[in-house]
Amino acid sequence: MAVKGWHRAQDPALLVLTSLAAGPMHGYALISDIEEIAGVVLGPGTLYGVLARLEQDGLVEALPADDRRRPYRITGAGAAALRERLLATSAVASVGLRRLGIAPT
Amino acid sequence: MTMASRVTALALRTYPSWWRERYQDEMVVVIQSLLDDGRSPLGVAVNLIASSLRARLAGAGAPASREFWVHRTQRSLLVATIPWFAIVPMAVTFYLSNSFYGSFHGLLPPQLSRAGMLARDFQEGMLYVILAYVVIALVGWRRLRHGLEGQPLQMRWFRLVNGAAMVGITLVISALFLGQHNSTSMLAEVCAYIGLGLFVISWFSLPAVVTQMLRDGELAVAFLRTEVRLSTALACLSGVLTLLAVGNRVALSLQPTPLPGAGYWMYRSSLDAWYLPLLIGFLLLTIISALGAHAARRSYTRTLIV
Repeated sequence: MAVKGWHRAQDPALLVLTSLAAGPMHGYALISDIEEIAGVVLGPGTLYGVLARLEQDGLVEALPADDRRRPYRITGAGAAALRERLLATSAVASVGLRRLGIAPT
Repeated sequence: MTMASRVTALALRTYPSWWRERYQDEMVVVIQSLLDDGRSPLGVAVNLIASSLRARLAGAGAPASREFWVHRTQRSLLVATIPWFAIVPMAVTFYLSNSFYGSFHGLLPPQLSRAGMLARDFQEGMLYVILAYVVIALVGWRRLRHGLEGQPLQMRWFRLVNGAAMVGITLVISALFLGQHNSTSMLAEVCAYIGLGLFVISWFSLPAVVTQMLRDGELAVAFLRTEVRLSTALACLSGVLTLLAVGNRVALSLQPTPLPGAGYWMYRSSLDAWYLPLLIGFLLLTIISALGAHAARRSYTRTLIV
């Protein structure tokens, strides 16, 4: 599934989907998790801009709010898009690392 | 409420209402947690303002209703076209501020330098762009009226403004005619002042009339498509006008300084200190117009999907 804007490295949408692959999370948990896994500090405006776009594309869905905190979870289409993107990235990464003489971990 | 919360609350208000309805509550909780963690309130506010601009332009997360997107396209069209009412008088002022001057010694007048010729070409280019601007705006106006035909709109203000403009133009033409026969005619002077006054008043009232028409009416897809294309053309022409204004000024400043005692023929602008504010005005209006046209195009595309 082709999703607009997926070609950029460190794409916030890719980071959000990767984070949500671990399970449903609310906004603050997402920001903390992304900072931990990628070292990228997302602003609240950026995060909700990405969530709105992913929700519109049907890649994530909002769950019922729990005390003003609304968790989000990845949909089937979102998981498929993430898998496709990560496989493509990992194939390129393997070739790049091999050509640089570094064994992929 | 702390200062940091106040700053971020103000930044949150820059989001469109549909966005705030959907996301504000949960965003407030996230922002509060981030501030408690020691995030800079200013950094958070800047991020929110930049994202609100993106939300306004892209409309991600907006309701998937056709009516919403049609009205959003119309509002964006307004943002794209309203600067036109300010840009045209500004461009005319700029155009009229350029003139020749020189000093002759001998039989043959001195030649205009290449930079002077370039400045003149840029100025003439502005005239063609203004004409193209007016033609596009008239086509857009005609399509708008055609598109809103038969809808229960309040047309009283439109008729009043339209009538005032027509009377104004007639009075100015009459003044020119009377002045040709008698250059000191008091009647011609009165006609000219009243005519110009009426025309200026109607010119600056027209944006309010267009706003009312686009707010209360609903254009069909075919009309929206034309208006979106025309607004894009107007935004591009605004950019061209800005470039011509910059080019004209640069060329004017590159003209060689006349030698003492020698004849010269130069091009000059009487704007002086007014040039910079005028150029900033051109730039700002062009940016507003371009953002409006961009949002209109995106919203129109969504109108076709929902």
